[in-house]
Amino acid sequence: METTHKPARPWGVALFYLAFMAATVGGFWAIHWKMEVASEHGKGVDNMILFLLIATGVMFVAGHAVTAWFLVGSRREGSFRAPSPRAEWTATLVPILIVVIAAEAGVLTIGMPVWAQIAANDPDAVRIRIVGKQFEWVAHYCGPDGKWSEYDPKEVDGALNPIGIKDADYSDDIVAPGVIIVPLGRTVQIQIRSMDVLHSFTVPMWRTKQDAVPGMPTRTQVKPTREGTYEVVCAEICGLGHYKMRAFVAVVPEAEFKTAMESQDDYDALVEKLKKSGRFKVARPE
Amino acid sequence: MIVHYAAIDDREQRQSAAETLLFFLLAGAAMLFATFTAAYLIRRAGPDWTPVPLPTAAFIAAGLLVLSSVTLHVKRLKVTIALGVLFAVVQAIAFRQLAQAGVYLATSPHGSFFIMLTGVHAVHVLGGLLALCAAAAGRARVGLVAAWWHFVGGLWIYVLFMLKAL
Amino acid sequence: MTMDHAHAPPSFWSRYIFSQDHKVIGIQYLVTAMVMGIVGAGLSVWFRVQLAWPGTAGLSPEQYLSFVTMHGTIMIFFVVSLALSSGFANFLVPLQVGARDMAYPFLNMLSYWTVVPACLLMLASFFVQGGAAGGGWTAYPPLSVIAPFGMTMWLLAMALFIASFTMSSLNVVTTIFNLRARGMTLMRMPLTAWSYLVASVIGLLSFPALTAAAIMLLLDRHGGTSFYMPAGLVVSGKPLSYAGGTPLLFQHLFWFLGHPEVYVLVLPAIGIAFDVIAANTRRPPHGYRISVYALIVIAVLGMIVWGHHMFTSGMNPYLGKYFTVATLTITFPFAALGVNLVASLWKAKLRINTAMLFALGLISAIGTGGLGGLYLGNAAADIHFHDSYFVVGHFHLMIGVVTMLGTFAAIYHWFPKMFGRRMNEPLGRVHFWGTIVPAMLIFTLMHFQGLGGMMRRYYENTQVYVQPVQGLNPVISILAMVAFAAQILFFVNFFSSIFRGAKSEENPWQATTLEWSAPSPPPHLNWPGELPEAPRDPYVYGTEGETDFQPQWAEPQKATK
Repeated sequence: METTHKPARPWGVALFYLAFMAATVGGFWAIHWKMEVASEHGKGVDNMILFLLIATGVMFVAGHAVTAWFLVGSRREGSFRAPSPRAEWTATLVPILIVVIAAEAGVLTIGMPVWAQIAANDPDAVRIRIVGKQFEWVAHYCGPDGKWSEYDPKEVDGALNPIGIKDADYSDDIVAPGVIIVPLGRTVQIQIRSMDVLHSFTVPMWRTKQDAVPGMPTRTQVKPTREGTYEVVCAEICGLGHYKMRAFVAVVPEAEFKTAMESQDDYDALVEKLKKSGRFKVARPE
Repeated sequence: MIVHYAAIDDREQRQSAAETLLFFLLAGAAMLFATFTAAYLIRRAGPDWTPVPLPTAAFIAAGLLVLSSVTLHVKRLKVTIALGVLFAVVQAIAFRQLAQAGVYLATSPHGSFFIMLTGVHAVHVLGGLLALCAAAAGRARVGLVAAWWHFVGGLWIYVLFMLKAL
Repeated sequence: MTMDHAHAPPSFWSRYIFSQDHKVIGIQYLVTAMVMGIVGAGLSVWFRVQLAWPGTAGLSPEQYLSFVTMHGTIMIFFVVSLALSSGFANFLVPLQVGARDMAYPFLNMLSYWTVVPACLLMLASFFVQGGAAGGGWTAYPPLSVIAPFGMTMWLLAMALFIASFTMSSLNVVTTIFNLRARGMTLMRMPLTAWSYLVASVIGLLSFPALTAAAIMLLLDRHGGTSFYMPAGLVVSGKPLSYAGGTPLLFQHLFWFLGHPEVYVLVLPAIGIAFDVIAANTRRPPHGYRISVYALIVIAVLGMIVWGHHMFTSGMNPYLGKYFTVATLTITFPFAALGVNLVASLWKAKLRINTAMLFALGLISAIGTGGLGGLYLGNAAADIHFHDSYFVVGHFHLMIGVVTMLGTFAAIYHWFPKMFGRRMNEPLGRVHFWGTIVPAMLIFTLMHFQGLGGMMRRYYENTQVYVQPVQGLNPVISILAMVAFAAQILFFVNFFSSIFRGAKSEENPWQATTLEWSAPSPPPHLNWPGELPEAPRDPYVYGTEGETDFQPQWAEPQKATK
């Protein structure tokens, strides 16, 4: 039975702290985590994340370094002299105030404008619709008449009428499963619906993500800043095909987009053209 | 053989422990019905909301509960229990009245709430009846059981109010 | 004080099976949690084979999703909550506050025997047609409404669990408020007891929301109601006849429980860490009062921030703003706890044993994981991270690693009190290192995967953009197997030490808190004679004199100078 013990110096634990800290920081160079951004608000999202990486990085390193130091470098031999209550409060409050104010000021000043951008309802935005269903995304454009046709669940008919357009034969709407086309440099308002369960319309390279809620159309806004083809995935568990609920969004010059909006045939022709010319390839990450 | 024993030797401690227990039971039940209230208000904003007339038996049942709170207040436990059982019977009649009016569980959201809340409330009434029996047998404190019973009665008035007026 | 109960000599059944002794019940909970933990962790090792080497695990996409769902459900409720909130709370709380047992031993026994059928029902759901629930542990409708019968079993099992948890928490709260030893004011309670008090209160107030949500889900599934189901649904080409409901309602109700639930899980681990650290640094924890206030503030704030799980749900963007701001405020008290844990190591007279190692590991886990919360609680950044592996890494660090490290710290620390023997120390150290290194690596790597856009609940990652971080999956899966295997050391140590461990004295760690004044193991009714009193503060360590501590039960005038 030891009533007093020789104070230990846990080098192993201190080493673990430092090694883990170094490995995590090193991971940012060793791991290919960066993803290009192809939208305007997406740059804001990235700025927010970058700010957090720096702020939390400092806290992470400081926290681990200080703990390692305390473990091996601050031991005491005799009795313990308690700090005064004031010293105790100061020792706790000062670090959190510095840390928290720095982090949170950044979160509020950088983050909130981005959030407002996405939620905005820009009257000049090009409006498109996306309908999610198990397990595909279907683009739905209003066609030259500028009006979306109604939906009728009873008229859903496989590949012929995947989203149940009412009186499909008399509608000039453009329906495109799996391939979405949007104009470069224009704000696009994406109205999102679901036919069956929750899905989440996600374009990682745009930093766009918005749930598709059955019975409650949602919307998000984005301004694509780069031509190219980007992957669309689902970010809300929707059944066995959740992982392969994939679509592609092609950002094309506005003139091409306008032509494609003239009829279903024009749209399909543009898609064919993109595929044949090789412009419809998703770039591999560098 | 299952052995009961009291871990609390001190009478005062036993009383205050029972009060704490009751407080948190009440808090939990209150949170349950607060949640149902929120759900009701949100669902009420839905596109297909058509209120159904509430069966008169439900209001008679409410009156019975109020009466039972009075009888409990004057410590007539057995009468209270009888009124409680009668309450359950009248509630069953309320269900029948609804069915006769063509309102079943899924017919209308308003009706769904009525049936669901009646059922959930009934579970709490059942708990109260068991507690009343225990009190009548001298194995539970009347004061605390009474608090539960009054709460359950007040809850039913609240539920009816919500279903009728909100 | 007389014992005013009378009973016949206890039979085997009433002593070990239907025991009403909080210590036996606590151990019953712990062992059950261990069994469920093997299942829950085993599920994850298995489905991670599919993630790392697609097609080799023998799992269909539906089975994969069931495994993921059940892994989450089992680990949260039937392992962590069972071990920490029910298991250790039961064993420890009456002893630490100086009571003979929980306030309601019969209710306590019922709480355990309610959770056993819950466990069995959960496990049985794997074997019905359609398999176990597969819509994530979050069970969002409409998917959870149209799901096969396993989902109903899940809901019924959860109902039983909630009943059990409620009974258990009622006991904890009643015992702490009313049965504390003479002299033990609330501000003289150890931080472990405080954390259990706070956790139990928020659990009692928030689980009813899940109960209500589950009842409505069951009615939508089997009663044809439309609480959550809107009109116009078309599933597999067929229109459904629901109308008028909204899926978002479930999400609000679910997360009204879901967020406080994480504090129910994590706060006891933090409280335990403070106790273990104090005993092994021979100094009081830094900022006892601050920590108590922080626990309370976290509990209160934790009830009003649930929407940060729903930033992309389609709820009103103004709510997104509110929940961002509200969530940020929790950083204050949480950081206070973190700073206090670290500051408690300053000027320490360290003793390193396995329990202390786990407590030290916990500090790294809570700091790292906690910082990740800043990315997720913020609506703008969360757009990139919602439903990604960043979230998975974050919550595993917080309610997986922190809680498991806390549980292990508790077991190694209080094992002598529970069984009168010590666990094997070298084996414990190997267990520690075999757990902490893979665990921290696995979930930190997942944060990188989230940065790289990897989505959760994906059977396979076939997207082009995600291939660089998909390459981390084999590494993570192997680390998971290592961590899983390391637990074998723990089980061997735990069970063999019960019978063959070195005998321990009453207070092997020279700790101050009240439980150490009872015999090891304590007999029925905990103290053979009078109940102890608590004339002292809980952490008088580092004193001058013959011994370097003054236990909470020692009279101040008896202090040696």
